[in-house]
Amino acid sequence: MKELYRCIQAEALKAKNSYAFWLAWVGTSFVALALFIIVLLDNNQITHVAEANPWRSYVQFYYSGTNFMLLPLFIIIIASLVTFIEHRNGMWKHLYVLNVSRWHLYVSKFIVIVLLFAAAHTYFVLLMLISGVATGIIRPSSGLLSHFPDFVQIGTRAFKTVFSVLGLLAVQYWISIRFRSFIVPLGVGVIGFVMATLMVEQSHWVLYMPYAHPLLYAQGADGPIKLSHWGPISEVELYSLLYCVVFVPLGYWLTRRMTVEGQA
Amino acid sequence: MTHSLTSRLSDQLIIQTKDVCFSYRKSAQVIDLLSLQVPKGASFGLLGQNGAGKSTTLKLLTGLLYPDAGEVNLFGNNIATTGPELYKNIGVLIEAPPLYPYLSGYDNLKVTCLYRNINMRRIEEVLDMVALRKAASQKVGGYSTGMKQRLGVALALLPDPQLLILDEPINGMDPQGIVAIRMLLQELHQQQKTIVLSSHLLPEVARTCDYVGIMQEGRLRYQGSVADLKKQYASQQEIFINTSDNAKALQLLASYLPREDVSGIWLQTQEKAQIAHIIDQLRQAAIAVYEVTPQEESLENLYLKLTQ
Repeated sequence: MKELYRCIQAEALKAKNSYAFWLAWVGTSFVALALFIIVLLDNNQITHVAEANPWRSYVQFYYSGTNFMLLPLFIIIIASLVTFIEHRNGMWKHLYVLNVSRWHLYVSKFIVIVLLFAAAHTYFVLLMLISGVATGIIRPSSGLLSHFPDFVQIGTRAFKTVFSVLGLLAVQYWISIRFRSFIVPLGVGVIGFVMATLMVEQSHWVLYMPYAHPLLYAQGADGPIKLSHWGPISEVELYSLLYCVVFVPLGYWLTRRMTVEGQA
Repeated sequence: MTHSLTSRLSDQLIIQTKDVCFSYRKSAQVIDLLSLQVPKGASFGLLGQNGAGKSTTLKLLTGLLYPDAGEVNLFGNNIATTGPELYKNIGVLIEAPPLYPYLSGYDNLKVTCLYRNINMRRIEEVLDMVALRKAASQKVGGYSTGMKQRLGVALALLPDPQLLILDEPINGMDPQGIVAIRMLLQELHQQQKTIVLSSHLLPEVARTCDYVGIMQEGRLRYQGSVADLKKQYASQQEIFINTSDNAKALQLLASYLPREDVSGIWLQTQEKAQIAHIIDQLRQAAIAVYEVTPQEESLENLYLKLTQ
């Protein structure tokens, strides 16, 4: 466990100032800002959120914005960028001759990708709350200053959103380790995302598609799609977790004998 | 043609490969029946032209590539069946230095320290060894090629390795950097570290290494000490002389195939013992001898003899 902890520390240090790091912060800030401007400019949105506790509708509006702008593509790019750092700089030649197990190298990088996404999502939630207060100040009629946000609901949703992307992260991570070109994981990710978007309301098979899990969870939470639940866990979260549990070791097994053939 | 290290076989072999074969594609064998032996404490230079298989050999030695046949042993352990703990005492720099350009030099070293569980104080030591302490806080993206190469060497030195494997370690370095790395390698050699390096720069290998392996088209044409290589393949000894009457000396020593230039006369002899005979001949002819210098056959000449 100590070795895994050290590997996670090393991965976290590598993430500092990387493209993935900046995309996480800049991308999240941009999406939050765009949604804030939409809320301010679109009177209907303000009217729409003016109800018993306007925060509930406000949060729902923000999350519906992330369905297309933040979640799936953002995850695909982050997972690809984190591994591309190693491919581009020929770092495997260095990593594979360290006195560290390849399993720890593999899983620590995955953990840091999950943590990076979780941190970016927490940042998004904070920006959402700040912009909600700002909206309340600029447009008092929204009623956002007259109520407190439901922190339990917001926290649960944020946690479950991260939970619902674990399967997609595990699959996308494996593809981006396996293929050195940045184009391959990005291409597979975009195709998967488009297929998931097209299938999401038309086929029940979409439930088994990890690229659809963030969309399904968001739509399940907002109401359009009814999801089965086992206690507090929805079927989407369960499948996402199953994908993660299966694909992380499977991805490791498939790449454990990877060599640096032809790597400059 | 391969000369076994019989004189050192009783010593521990740090690297030993047995009939290793490797190909990237089925049609072309890149490494063919490679049986390499590197004794403990040796400074071993791997020589060969582009495409001879030097880098591939180093990748096979470090487990970065898997051989199609044969086995690779490091410290007496087969690398195919030994875990990552084998790499605890090995420092490696293969081809371009493995660096994260958006991190500082210090942070690049820190990443490896975290992975390898090395005390962070070691970072200052290796930065001093490669003379990069002043640039440690700068982002590596702004480093010159030579600085990156030196940082790559520093990464390999971090674990204070017993075995150091360096692929073209002085590539892209300025003369000062080359001298610094040469001195560093000589110092490490004195500390009984085993060093394996590949280089195109034969004079540098001659200065740094006491053992060489010469590769050609994936085969090891020679391995052994530089001294043995000279004994075996230096067929003639060249001697430079300067006398009070070079024109007369030229006629007198015609049997030694002399050639004259502005600095003096160059003679070809079969062995060093003939030097005394030459001096006697000159004295008997009342020619004063100002200088007699036996010329060592260069590694470059020997390399060309073996590979052409």
